[in-house]
Amino acid sequence: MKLNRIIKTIFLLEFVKALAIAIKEIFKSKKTINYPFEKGRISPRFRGEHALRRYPNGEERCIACKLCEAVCPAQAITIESKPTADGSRKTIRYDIDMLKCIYCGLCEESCPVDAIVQGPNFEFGTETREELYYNKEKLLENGDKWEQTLAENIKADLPYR
Amino acid sequence: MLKDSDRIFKNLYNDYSWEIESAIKIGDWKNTKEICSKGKEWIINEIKTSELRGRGGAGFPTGLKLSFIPKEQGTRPHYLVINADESEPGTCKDRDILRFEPQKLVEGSLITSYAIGAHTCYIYIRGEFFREGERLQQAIDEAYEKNFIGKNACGTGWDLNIYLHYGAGAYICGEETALLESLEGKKGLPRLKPPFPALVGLYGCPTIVNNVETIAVIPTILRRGAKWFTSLGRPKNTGTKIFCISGNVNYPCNVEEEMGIPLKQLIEKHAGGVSGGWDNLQAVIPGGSSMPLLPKNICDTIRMDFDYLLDQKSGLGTAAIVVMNKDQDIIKCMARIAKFYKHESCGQCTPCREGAGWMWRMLERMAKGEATLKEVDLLFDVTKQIEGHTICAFGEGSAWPVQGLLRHFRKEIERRNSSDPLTKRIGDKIPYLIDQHLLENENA
Amino acid sequence: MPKITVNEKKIEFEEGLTVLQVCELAGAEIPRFCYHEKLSIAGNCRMCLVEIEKSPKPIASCAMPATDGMVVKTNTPFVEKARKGMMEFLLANHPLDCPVCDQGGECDLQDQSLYYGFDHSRFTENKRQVKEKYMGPLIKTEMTRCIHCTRCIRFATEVAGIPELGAIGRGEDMEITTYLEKSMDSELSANVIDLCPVGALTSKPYAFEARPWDLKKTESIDVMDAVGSNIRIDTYGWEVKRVLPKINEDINDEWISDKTRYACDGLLKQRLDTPYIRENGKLIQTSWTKALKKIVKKLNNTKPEEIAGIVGDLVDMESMFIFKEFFNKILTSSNLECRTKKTYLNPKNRMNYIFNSSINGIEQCDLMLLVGTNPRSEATILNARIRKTYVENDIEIFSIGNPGDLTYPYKIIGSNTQVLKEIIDEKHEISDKFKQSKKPIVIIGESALKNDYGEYVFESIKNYLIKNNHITNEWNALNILTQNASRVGAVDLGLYKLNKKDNFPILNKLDTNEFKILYLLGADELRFNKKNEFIIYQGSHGDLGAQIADVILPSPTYTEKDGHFINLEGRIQKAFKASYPPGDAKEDWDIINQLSKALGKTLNINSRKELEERLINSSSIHSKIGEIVKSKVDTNETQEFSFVNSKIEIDFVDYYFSNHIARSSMTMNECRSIKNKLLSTGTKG
Repeated sequence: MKLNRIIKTIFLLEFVKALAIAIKEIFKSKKTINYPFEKGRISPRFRGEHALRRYPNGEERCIACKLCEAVCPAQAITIESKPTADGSRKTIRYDIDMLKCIYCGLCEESCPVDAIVQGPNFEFGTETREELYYNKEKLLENGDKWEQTLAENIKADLPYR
Repeated sequence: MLKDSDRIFKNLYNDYSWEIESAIKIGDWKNTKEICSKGKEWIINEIKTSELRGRGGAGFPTGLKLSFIPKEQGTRPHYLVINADESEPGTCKDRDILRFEPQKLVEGSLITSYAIGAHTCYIYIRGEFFREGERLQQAIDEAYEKNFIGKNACGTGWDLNIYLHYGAGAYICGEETALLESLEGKKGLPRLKPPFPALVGLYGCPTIVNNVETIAVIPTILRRGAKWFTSLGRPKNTGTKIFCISGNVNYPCNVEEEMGIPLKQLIEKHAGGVSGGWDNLQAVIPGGSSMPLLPKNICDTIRMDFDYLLDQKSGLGTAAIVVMNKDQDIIKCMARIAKFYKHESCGQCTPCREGAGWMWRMLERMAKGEATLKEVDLLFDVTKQIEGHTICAFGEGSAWPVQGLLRHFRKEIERRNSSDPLTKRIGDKIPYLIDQHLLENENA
Repeated sequence: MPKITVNEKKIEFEEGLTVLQVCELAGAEIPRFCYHEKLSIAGNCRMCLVEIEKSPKPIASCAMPATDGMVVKTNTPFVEKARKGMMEFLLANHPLDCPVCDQGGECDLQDQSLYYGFDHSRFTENKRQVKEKYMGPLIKTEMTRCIHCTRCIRFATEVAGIPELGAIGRGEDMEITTYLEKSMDSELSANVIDLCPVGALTSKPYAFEARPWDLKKTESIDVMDAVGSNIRIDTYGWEVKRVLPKINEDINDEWISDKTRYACDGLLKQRLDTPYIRENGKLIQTSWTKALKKIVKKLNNTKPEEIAGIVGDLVDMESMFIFKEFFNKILTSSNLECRTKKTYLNPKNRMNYIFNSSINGIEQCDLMLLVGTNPRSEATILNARIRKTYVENDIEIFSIGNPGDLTYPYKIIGSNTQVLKEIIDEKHEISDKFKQSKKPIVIIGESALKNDYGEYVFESIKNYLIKNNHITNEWNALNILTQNASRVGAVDLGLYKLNKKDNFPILNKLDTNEFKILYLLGADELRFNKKNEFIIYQGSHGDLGAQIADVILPSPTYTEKDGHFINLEGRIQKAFKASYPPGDAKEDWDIINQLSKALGKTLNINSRKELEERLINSSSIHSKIGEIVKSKVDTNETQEFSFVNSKIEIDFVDYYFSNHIARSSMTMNECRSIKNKLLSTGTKG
């Protein structure tokens, strides 16, 4: 036993083994990504930045049922509603305080018309706090921007709902 | 087989004339005064011992019903209301009574009114029976002329006025409380029971509501005695009854026969047999559209009376026999009956309002073979959810025919609906209609 | 007492109850849609099915009279199955559009489907669509959601007395409608919204405004008329979103009038949020200090007897109390008046100016005489009570003067004081009826107390009733129907001035412009020609009072402060603060307190609580909240009077425009124009 240890110590066998692993790893493909330029795969259920979606004809999906407002554990959502000219129920105000939001996804889950969704975008850092008080225009704009991905994600998740 | 001498409705085929003179000749208005002079108690007791059961469908003992009226007349008048709103599909017995034997009805209403202490009798006649109504009015006028009714009617010292009222064509107004509502000038919606009409009826007064046939047989029973009546038929199902035979028979007819006559004999003897022969028989509805149908194997042996048919999970109802031979699509027939009930539901209480339409739609699909097998059970569930939960008996009336179909022809439904291409394509999730929400999700 | 067994629990009950009521007594909750305590029984939703021993079928408990020895079970699988079946039928054609439905969150169907509903629908057919119906500017309809419980029909025909709602069609195609699709001509119409167990009838002005869980609920008192209906005020932030009735069997049952319910949008409009002073004929915004300084300067330069204070319709007791203190102690003036019209007042005994029979007491009466009053527009809820009494007891109702359609039949026996004289001299046919009657009611309206004949009308009726023994401690047939929420309280506090010769000296002096300063505390109904008066208006709305004012001091409305009100029966009730006043507005007591400080004197009231304590301690009447304090009847106290022959004309009450809050309300405006249109086209009456 002792001799064995002495040999290991003298010939630095542990170091050599480690070096061999390191050399082997050099030729393997990389595990890390070069983040801002490369991006990892995101689950369709990823809960990122919020968006309000529209129907294909451009009509807002949100019907101001206020379920998301009621369910929000951080009370980050504020909604006000009024009938539109054609008598349908629509929001006149839809604010999310993204600083309060804890990204739990309950708003998305409670929505009966898939209007408020949490999209794949997580890169919405800003320089001022005020920019993170999202209003309806901002959310709709998000929705328009991400619509294709959002629709695909929802479709992918459909069988499990 | 009923002897001619035991026949109550001698003029059922208009062999004689319907006018009062001829009616008197064949025995109406005979001894009416003597019958009345025996007293109210005697009349009601005699009807009780005769075991006469109501001919309107439910088969409630008439004597018992009459005895429910308060013995002592209080401040409120008593009324007799005669239900001539015969709208049950397949039933046409009252119509012939009104046409050819109106005096029997008028005489019956005098005796019954006397027995229950009513000075006013209303006859609520189906709006479509316009000619029959005219004839009945003439008969009433003739009876007035002879002073058989009116002041001191028939010399009994009893005053009776008979009024005729035309309905507006709703099936539900044949239900006794809905009839009273309609008579009062309101929408014909059934009332909640209790209180029963015998205590709180027309205009809140004690009222007896009876079918035309029930009232029309009373004078004969009293003249010939309850014993004679009980000698016909079997206990609790006594006397004679007018059977209306229609459908796939060679000679559809109304015929008066003894209670308990075998169905096969009735059809073969009086209606000239099933078209295509007895073996071509598919099913029979024994008691008007609201009773469950019976398939051929049961029809071979059954006798036509209340209790016998009840044992077969059907009912005598109004004794309207609708015969369906093998040419008929039985599911389609029942779908048509369900449509009738959907159309005639008054809409007052939930189960019948929502259920009748639901049943109809499902049956329509089943007839086309567009339903799923799961829906057969659902349909049965729906009928069970309607039955017994409604205000009036209409709920049962609409649920029973469907139950009868499911009981006896389930295999036929399943056979027809097992090969639905739509079902195969999308599984048993969505049978017939395209669900908007799912469609949207697909496109989302 | 008969006994009944409910779920193996034996309880006794009074004869005449239904099974549902007895089950409720036994603590067994029974789901229901069509059944309502205040309406007749329809028994058509079939949700209340229970199992009764010896009955093969489940029985609808709402319609079944309970009898001795009945054995009822409400929690068996049999019952559960029946109810689940019913729920499936109800939901079959119900659109399930809860997310866009205003009833969501307070919907009976939603609540009960939680217990009796399936998690998925087995109904795969097309759902029924029903066209929405027009029912006026207050009721929004979505008839697809209707479950045909017929509560609305029964309410309209039984309580409101307008058979304008009904069902047409049969079976599946049954539809609830106003037949001609016109506005419901009733001041109680909006109660059908509360009655509707689903979202078929919802509130039009409140459409999509808020969710019930968003709202802060405050129970309070209504001031739109003198009835003092109990209400619940729902607020969202500052805004009063809606007003709902609160059950009080003694006053408003479960109903409130449309004005009570919908004048609340007037609380948001035309508000005074900052003090104003008039300079060169124009009102300009200013600060509190400047406004008070201007008032102080004027007050210091005026003799006390040239200053008068007028109290308006909607002022609470606290404000009136401190107003009186301010006038008596600081201005040393007694020129206070709560009447804005010249109506006769005899404040010697409390029974002379209240509704003595009490609203609940109307139900016991057997004969009614209306003198110059239109209770339908003056006190809608009281009118509903009269109708209820008429329907239940079939009482005879007579009227002096023509009030128009009151929703129940009555007989006009004349419209001048001559008829009254005939009755009193026992020459009229109804004199005998009064003699035979055990509990008659005479309701004297403000129109009958007008001008010179008011004294005769009041004193002669009172004398007559005393003579016929109808004013006793047990039953007092003398009733004054006041129209304003503040009137009885104001008279209790002594905010009036009268002398033997002149019943309304202040109003008379006002006509001759003898005052130099007028202090209007929320008084908007005053009609006079302004000459050189300096007018201080303290109130909440920019209405008639503010138009003529020289200084405006903004104050809160009834929903924005705590305060006591005495209703026409003499019942003191407390209203609670549900919201807060806009801008710089201050509570009335605070304004007057600051004004007295600016005058260099003090009233020794430092907080609201102190004021309330002083008010309550000021009289024994004020300490019993929610109760009627019966004053001892003094039959000896009579007054001489002389006959005045005059026509008694009932003043038209512009129901939807009767106070400054209602006048500011868009909804009331709309109701009024629709009503006027109905009147002008002659389709009514």
